[in-house]
Amino acid sequence: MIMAGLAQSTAALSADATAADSSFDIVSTYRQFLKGDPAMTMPVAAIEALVVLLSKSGPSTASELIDILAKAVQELKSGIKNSISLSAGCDMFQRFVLRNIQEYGDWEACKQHLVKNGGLFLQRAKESRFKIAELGLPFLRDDDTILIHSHSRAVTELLLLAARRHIRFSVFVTESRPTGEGLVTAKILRQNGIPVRVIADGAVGYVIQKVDKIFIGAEGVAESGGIINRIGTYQIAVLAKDANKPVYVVAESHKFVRLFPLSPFDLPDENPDATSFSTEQDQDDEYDEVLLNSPLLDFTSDNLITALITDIGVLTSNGVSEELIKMWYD
Amino acid sequence: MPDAGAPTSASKGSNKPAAPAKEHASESQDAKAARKAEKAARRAQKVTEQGKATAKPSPEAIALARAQKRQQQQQQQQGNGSQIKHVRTGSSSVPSGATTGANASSLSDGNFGISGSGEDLLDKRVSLFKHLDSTKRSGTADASKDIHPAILALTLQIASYTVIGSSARCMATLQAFQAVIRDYRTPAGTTLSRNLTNHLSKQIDFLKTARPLSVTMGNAIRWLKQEISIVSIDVSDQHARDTLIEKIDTFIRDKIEVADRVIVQTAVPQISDGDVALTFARSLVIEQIFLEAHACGIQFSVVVVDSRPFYEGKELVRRLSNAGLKCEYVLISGLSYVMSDATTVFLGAHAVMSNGQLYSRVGTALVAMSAKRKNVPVIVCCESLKFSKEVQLDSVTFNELGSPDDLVNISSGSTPISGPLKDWRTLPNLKLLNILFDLTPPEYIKKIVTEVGSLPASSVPVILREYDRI
Repeated sequence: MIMAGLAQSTAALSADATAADSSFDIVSTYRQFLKGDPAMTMPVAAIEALVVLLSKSGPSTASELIDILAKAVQELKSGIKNSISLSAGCDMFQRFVLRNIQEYGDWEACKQHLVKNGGLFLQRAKESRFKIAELGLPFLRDDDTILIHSHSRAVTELLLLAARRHIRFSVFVTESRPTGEGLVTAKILRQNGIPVRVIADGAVGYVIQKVDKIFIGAEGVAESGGIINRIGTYQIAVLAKDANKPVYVVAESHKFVRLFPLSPFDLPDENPDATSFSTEQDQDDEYDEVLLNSPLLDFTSDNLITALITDIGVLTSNGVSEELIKMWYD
Repeated sequence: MPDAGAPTSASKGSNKPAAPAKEHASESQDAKAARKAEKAARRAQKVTEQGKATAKPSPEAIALARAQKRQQQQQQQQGNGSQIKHVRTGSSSVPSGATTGANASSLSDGNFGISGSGEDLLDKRVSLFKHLDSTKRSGTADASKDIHPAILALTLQIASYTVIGSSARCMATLQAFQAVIRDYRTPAGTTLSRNLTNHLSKQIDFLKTARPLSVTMGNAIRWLKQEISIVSIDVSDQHARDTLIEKIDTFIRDKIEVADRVIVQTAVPQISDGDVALTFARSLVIEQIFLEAHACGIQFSVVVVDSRPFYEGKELVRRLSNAGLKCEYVLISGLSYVMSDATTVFLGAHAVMSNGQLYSRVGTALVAMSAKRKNVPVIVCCESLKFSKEVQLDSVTFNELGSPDDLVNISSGSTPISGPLKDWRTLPNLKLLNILFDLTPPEYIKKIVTEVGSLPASSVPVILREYDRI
């Protein structure tokens, strides 16, 4: 009977997941979630995959559950190349499970609660982007010129809401090589009637005087309040600091990750080729080769960031570490 | 660095409070000698019936001496208008011979430093730091009979810097308290939970005569008193004592020993192949980090920056090079040269203030500032026991003064050699300042590694709030 209840409560979640089978592949489930919904972020997809796993596997004890979760998380982290924000989601869900296990004496009730609340957790995570847009709205004003970098769903959501609320502003979008994701953002914004100018990454210094404020997304928010984001974010933040322009990070709180990098080389995803040198001529001849070897993420330290607009409020970088401490140590 | 163990001790054991019996014995011999000298001085003064200023002045004696000095100065100004303010001949009521004699005797037996007469101390204090207690270095002679021998021994060890470093001092204190509690018998008509706290307070007051309590000691004492106060009056004394002793053991293990291990585990990944790690003076936890990183097979080298008068880094560099690490040793005057090569700076702490200021061995701020200037990340490693609830904005308001004679001593060995400043007490217009700590602003600190995780310096109050220890 309980199993029936479980199946019911997770039916909606597992609808687009693979058909139930005995050998559950967490990585492919995660990929499917990510592919199925373009608005889905990596941590959310990870949590969603874990919830499905929880409902499908039938752990009989708390320690078995913890073990299953830990294994799945490990599998996910090693199976996916860019695992920073993913690990934020995994860690958060593991934490959530641990806390709830301790609260309930009755194991069956606990399991049921976990699956149900796992769904709730997801719901909240998905909604957070809209909440952020509302919270970030006062930062935008008529006649603003805004600079954004690459493609961030949270930033796009905020700009679209602002446009819907009849705030008139124009946007510089960096092309953001090597992925070229800035072009995606430009397309979406133009479709919604926001005037956009795409600039080369190297042109940020040229336009910075004309810019009023800078909005950037984040792949992960580190414990210091610094952010891990698409390559090029750091140099934009440095230019902004020099020009005294405010830099706002727009990110969901489930992207807060227990990492404390001091430089991009402390990131788990470091690209060892990025700092190796060569005298071979033909390397640079192939333009695409150069781009392939380029690192994808960099780290922007907290002192370059004015504020973080998150679903739990507008925080200073100190606030991030406070929230993380509250989340983790109790 | 505050964590540093005994600079002179070769074995790790002597860092620990329960010092080897031999050392203990020699300490108490010294103590006896001191007591004898003091008694002799007192007798001499009784004979002349002028026992107003003793070699080791009590507060009243200092006050008296101050009053006398003021009088004398007025007299001089009225009389011959002498411009020299600090005349060292002593007030007329104290025979100068007796004063210098006492001075000389304490100089010669030199066990816990040299304390001049009250007047000299007053005269020679640097005005900006006058509010700080200069080291009194009391002997065990004036200890009341309530003071436990373990506390007496510890007081001497702390005063002579044999036990040095805030963690080591904290551990030693707690272990001495275990001895106190073991030998404690509740007097009739009171309960343990009420009376033991009083009894401990007396011990603590005596401990304070050696050096001011470290932040770790303060935190531990606050915790212990809390534990005592919640001892039920229904349990037997024996049981209460055993429980308390066991709790102290757990506290030491959790807050210092295990904490250190966790910090080491967290900090080692900060060191990678080819790194040059720079540290200042000596911290036990930093030493463990380097040794562990070396044991993990990471190829890196260490620069130990050191300074007078403790030379704590010498012991660190000896241990590291014995373990097979590539080391470089430099005094703080050569800092700017070695900083160019450094990739990371690791610092220990005496305490971290609520506002993120790092309170540590004097010179630390200089190292951190220099690192910041060269864009070298500064990582502070310390137990959360070292977090202080207090806020400090400068290193003047609260600090500790060492004996000025430590600066005069130009020997780096154990036998003191007085250099050109031998007669500094008689030189007019000369004051010596031996300050022990300084304050490093949070802007210079990239991260603090504690047993509860890595945090920015600004998060200290959050930890204090979330983990309200008391």
